[in-house]
Amino acid sequence: MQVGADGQTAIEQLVKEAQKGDPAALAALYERFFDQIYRYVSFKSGSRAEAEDITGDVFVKMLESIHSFKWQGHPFSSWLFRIARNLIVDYFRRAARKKTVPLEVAAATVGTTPDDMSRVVETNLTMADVRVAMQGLTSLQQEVISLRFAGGLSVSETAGALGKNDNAVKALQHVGLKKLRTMLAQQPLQRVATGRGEV
Amino acid sequence: MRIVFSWIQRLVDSRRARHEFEDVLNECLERLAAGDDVGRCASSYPEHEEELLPLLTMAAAMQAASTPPNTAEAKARGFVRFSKANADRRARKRRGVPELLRPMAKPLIVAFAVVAVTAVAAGGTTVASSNSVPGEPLYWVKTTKESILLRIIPRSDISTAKVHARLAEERGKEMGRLIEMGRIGAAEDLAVRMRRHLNASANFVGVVVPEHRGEMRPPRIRNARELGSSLERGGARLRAALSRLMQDVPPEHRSRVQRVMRQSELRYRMLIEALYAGDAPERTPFGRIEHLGRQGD
Repeated sequence: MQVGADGQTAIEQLVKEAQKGDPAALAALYERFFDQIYRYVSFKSGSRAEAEDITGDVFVKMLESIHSFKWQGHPFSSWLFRIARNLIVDYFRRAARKKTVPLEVAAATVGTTPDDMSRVVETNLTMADVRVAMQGLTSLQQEVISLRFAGGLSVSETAGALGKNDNAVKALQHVGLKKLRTMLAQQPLQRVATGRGEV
Repeated sequence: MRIVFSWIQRLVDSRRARHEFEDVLNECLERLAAGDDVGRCASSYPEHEEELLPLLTMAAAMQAASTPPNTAEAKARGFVRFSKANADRRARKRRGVPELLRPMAKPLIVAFAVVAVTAVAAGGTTVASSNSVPGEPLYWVKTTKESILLRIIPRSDISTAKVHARLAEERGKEMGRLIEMGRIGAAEDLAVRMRRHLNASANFVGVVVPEHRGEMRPPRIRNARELGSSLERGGARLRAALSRLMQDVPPEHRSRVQRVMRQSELRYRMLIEALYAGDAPERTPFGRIEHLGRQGD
């Protein structure tokens, strides 16, 4: 999903046209980034219904503020993911205030056949496992891992979204992966202990 | 002095080695993202293979885990919302321009709607999609069509509110089908969507459904009562359908289904009471909801 130099130029062109209000360019940006943002948001929120809403909000926000976007050495995707991050922070803040638990199981709305469903459930459990293991990482390591692997951003795009340099992102990614690996190796025991793993 | 120098040298070397490994790891991760194989990436760097392999396996598992199986439905629904937001924004910008210069009020949505509805109708999928439930291949056609119709056809707030009420009822029917199929998680998800439609319905007639009955205010629109009676019928049908289903729900899923029922009914009841604010609350069809709540716990 990472973008080469040609792809980056095409995105720059689209952004310029979108800033002039061209609906086709806006639709093309939506088409280009929806899956990445949706994946990142659903990974962070753990709920597909909420992810759909938040992702929708990200693009509405993009519409509202794309005119103020300026090229400052970072790719457009970094800017878009910064919007997503802020909306996710708001979401968690609201959720904490309401003290609510999402009703839905993340993967419950998808899947077309029984086989597909079981794959979804497996994937969902793995996502849940990863999310639990992520708690053991620092917030920056968590962010780097989420943006790189769920959002599919490159190192420099991740650096742009976090306001860090490339080397710092590489180091955070290295340490984060190492810690995750150690924690996930212990995970099966935890799952049995907490009784997780139900559909 | 020599000892200090060699210590510094070792520190510099180890830092350089770590940076080098981080670069190699990153290069492999980029290759994995581009579709390369874990084993092949790791074996390209024999000196780091042992350390690389577990990290790359971990990264590949993460990528697989974080990929939602099907985003088409969400994307289609999101696009309708995005187009509507864009059309609204353009309409807001046009404000102040003479009436004559703004004949195309909803160009994007209309164009998208015509193309989408024509395309799906030509394929005969609209009819087939009408009975679909979340997760089925044609469900996105159904929800996209609903979103388009919702945004284009209603000419007044009350008609939009009625459409939302109808869609809430449709979600209720789908919940019933999903419960029959044993897909309780998906039914819970739909309950969230149903509540959103009910809330939207209320908002279009100027009612904000409060958390407590004491905070209820009379509705803004006179014919809100008309909507209220339509909701009463829809809510009663949903209750009857879900109650029938309850007998066949396996015991291990019963409490979850009861929770979905309680929450859906509660939302219907609160909305109807809000619409009838000032009238007798016993007009609502959910007199037994508290009893049902205790039964489920």
